[in-house]
Amino acid sequence: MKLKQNEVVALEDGTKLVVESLLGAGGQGEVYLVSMNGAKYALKVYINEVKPEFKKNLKSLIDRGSPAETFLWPKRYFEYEGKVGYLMDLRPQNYVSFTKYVNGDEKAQFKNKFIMVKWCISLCTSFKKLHEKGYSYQDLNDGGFFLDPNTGDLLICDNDNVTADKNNLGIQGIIKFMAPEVVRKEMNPDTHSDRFSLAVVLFMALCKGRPFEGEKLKDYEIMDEQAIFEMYGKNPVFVYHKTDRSNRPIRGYHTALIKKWLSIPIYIKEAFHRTFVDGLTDRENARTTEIEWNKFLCKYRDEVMSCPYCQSDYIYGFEEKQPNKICPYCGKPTKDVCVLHVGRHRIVLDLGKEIFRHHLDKYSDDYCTPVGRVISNKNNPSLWGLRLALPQEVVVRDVTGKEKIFAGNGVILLARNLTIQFNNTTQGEIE
Amino acid sequence: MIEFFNKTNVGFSHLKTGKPCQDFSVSYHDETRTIVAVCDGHGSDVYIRSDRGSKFACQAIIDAFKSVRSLVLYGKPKEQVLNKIKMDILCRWNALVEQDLEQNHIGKKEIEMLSERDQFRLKNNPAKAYGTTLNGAMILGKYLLCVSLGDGGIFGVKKGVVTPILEETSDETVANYTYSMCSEDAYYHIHVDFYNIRDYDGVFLCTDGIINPYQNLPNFAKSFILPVYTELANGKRENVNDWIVRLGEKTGYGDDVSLAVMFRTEANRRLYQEARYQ
Amino acid sequence: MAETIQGNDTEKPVWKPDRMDEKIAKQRLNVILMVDCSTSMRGERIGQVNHAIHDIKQYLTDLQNENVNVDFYLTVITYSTEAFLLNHDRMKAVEEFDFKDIRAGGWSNLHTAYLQLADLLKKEAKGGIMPDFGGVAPIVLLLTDGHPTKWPLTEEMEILNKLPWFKVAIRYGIAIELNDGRTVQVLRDFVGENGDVITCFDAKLLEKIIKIIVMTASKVKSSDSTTTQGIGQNTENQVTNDIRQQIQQTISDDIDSWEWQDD
Repeated sequence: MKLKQNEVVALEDGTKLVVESLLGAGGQGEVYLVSMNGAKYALKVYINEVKPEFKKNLKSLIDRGSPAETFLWPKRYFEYEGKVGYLMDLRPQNYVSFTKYVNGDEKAQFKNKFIMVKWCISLCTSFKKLHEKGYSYQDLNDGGFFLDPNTGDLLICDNDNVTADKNNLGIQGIIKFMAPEVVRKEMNPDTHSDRFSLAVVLFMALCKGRPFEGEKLKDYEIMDEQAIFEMYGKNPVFVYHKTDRSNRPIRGYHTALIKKWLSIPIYIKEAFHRTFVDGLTDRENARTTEIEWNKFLCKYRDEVMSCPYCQSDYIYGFEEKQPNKICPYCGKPTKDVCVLHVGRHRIVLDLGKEIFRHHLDKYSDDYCTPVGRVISNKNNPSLWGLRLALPQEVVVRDVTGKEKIFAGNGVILLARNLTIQFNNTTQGEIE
Repeated sequence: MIEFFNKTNVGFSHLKTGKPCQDFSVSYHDETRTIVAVCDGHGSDVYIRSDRGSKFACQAIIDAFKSVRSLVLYGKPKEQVLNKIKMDILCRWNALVEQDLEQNHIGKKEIEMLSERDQFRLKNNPAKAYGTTLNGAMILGKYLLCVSLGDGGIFGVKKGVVTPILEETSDETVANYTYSMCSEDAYYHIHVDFYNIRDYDGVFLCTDGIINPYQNLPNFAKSFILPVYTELANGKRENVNDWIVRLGEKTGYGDDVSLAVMFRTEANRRLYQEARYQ
Repeated sequence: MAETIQGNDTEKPVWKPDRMDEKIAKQRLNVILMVDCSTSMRGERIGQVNHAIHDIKQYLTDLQNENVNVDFYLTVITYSTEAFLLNHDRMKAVEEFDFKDIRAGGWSNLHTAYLQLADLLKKEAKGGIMPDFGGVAPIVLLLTDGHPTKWPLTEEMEILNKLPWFKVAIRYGIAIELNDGRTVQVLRDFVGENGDVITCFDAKLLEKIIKIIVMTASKVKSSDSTTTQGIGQNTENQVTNDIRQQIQQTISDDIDSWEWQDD
């Protein structure tokens, strides 16, 4: 251990830190619980010697600040008696690791599909903001992400390897998440390889499987370095490649992947296919961008609904060959729901569903602030309404032309053929 | 030298209802190895092609075991080697099922008698139609390789001591429920391991139609395994054959019955030849 | 661990194998009755139950003689303040089952009966009454007239629900002359998806119901257990549906023989 319990160390400006305990250790460094001026923080200290470029980059990250709230960003630089590291906020207790989610840990599963998609949207939005600042992450992997299973809140850790795009501090990443050209050492990580890795993480979140791990597994006696290099670098074949079926998921082994792939909408499948097939050769144009992912994920979130019989979540199926008339899990009939059409958005108005700022403002990239929510009447639960969260009144017109004004925080009783004037430019229709 | 035997017979309940025999057994022998397998297709209505499923499972075992070049690890991690064998068997079975589905789609006539729920289950997972258990063993050099999934069992015999091999310890296989090749997580319930062949004089593979009437191990060992071994050691294969037929068609529980045996002729031959019935 | 037959080191065998045809048993079908003999059951109610059990025994013996596939084994758990096995017998062959009238008195500690049941529903090698190899889903009938003293029974139900043999067991709750919502709920929690609650008004009907349950339940075929689906969670279990239909038929057939109560 680099530091001892109760040891007192100091930041560059002399602020004292008292070491309380070791929180964890990895290949790169150790993380300690420390107290500073009565508050608790995490202090990461590197095990090995730190190169000058790395120190310079770390200081730059601290000076420029975090791109978004979702990043557990370095706050203060630390160098003391030959030890180098940084101070950051503590990770709150309600977050669990993404790795646990993927491994099926019961306590780490998202409350429902809606919350899961919310987390994915946060992930894409966060990486968009990171790239907008001119950075690339370069080491996207399941160990750096955390989730709150009840709210879908996201936390991104291990941000000390973030650096300017096209710059590289020697980090390559973890092979199973790396873009193939990086695995083959033809290129260093950058924003384009970040997009590839982002797609891998999204695939794991939505499908609980790895995009290049399928039947080819059986071709290898043991999964050694050579095998992994071939599967992920030399000749990666997407498990749902439209024409090359040589690496399909194995029925009886890739159980979750097979099930979940069936339940995701066609436009998400196409986005994965584009990134993992076309994106192998055209790294700059074919890989789905963060904006595109958000567009697809919001569409997905809009059409999720739950089965009243088995409580499974599935999609309405607007863009499938035909809408889901029965629940794909239990076979019982899909419930009758209203759909809100706003601009190009189609939102299934199931209980608990929300409408967001970006639905009402086509120039907004705020995918997470809700402006309305479907609720049920306390006295008569079969009556559903849309509870608004808007700063302005809305006007609702029924099929006879009769109009009614609702306060910005009012509840509109859901019925078909209503027209809702949300603001001067945005009108929605309920079908 | 290795001697081997396998026999499957239809059960009387199937004879009564006109259902096909859903068990399958097979043996294979060449200059390097001997392989035996017994598989039991499920009987409930939804498993409309489990007779084919059990045949495919036997085929998958034979093909997968034939592709094992050696069980000498040469430093390779044992678990990974065994996992590869499991994966190979599963993939081969999946491929045979897929091929059968492509060539013979599940038609309306095949499923019209099924409940709506069963029809829905088959639509979501057509492999379910082929549901089967799986038990296989191979002698390769000085090793005995065994694989098992679901009910039925593999039993080793050494100097008259009968021990279960790869026993399914999970309590989930109770009553008529069993893990199956059609289960969504089949891989995780396939047990595989290899042993030194000198640990056993012989190995017995049975489907549950053979085992269940004996209800517990001591009874099964004394009243089935050892008598059968004795008869085989004395070259009385026909007796064993006849008796399996009787067990299936008259005296058992009505289920299909399958038995496969491999034994080393040099191992304690006199011991078993001298054993006689009381 | 089950006993194994030992040889010794010399060449001569010391064991003698049985003839191959011997010792093949018929399938064992365990019928477990859980009988409430608390104070409220005194009088006509326990009388009905005693009469019914006498007849069940006779009934099962006759059925067995007609049935070449299955041997019935009976276990009766009586419970009031504590739970006991009737005659201290577990898994008694039905023709040997010696039934003595049950007397009623004490509290209604159903939870003790649940724990007794949990001990029974294990493989023989683990101390229960279920066979080590194979086996047929047991039939468990809970007969009660009133709500249990300890409630809710969450802890005990959790123990039972972890047992695979409980999950596959065909369970019926037979409510003797009651219309108490809480008791019906307790019975529903007990039977789950694998059975039904039957409100029963006389011993003849009770006997008929038990006959149907036993006959239908003895027909079972193999199925796969998947961890996603779980054992016994097949909500359209064919056997349970068959039983339900036949019992409904029985009850409606008998409706004319009920006394109509004036409101």
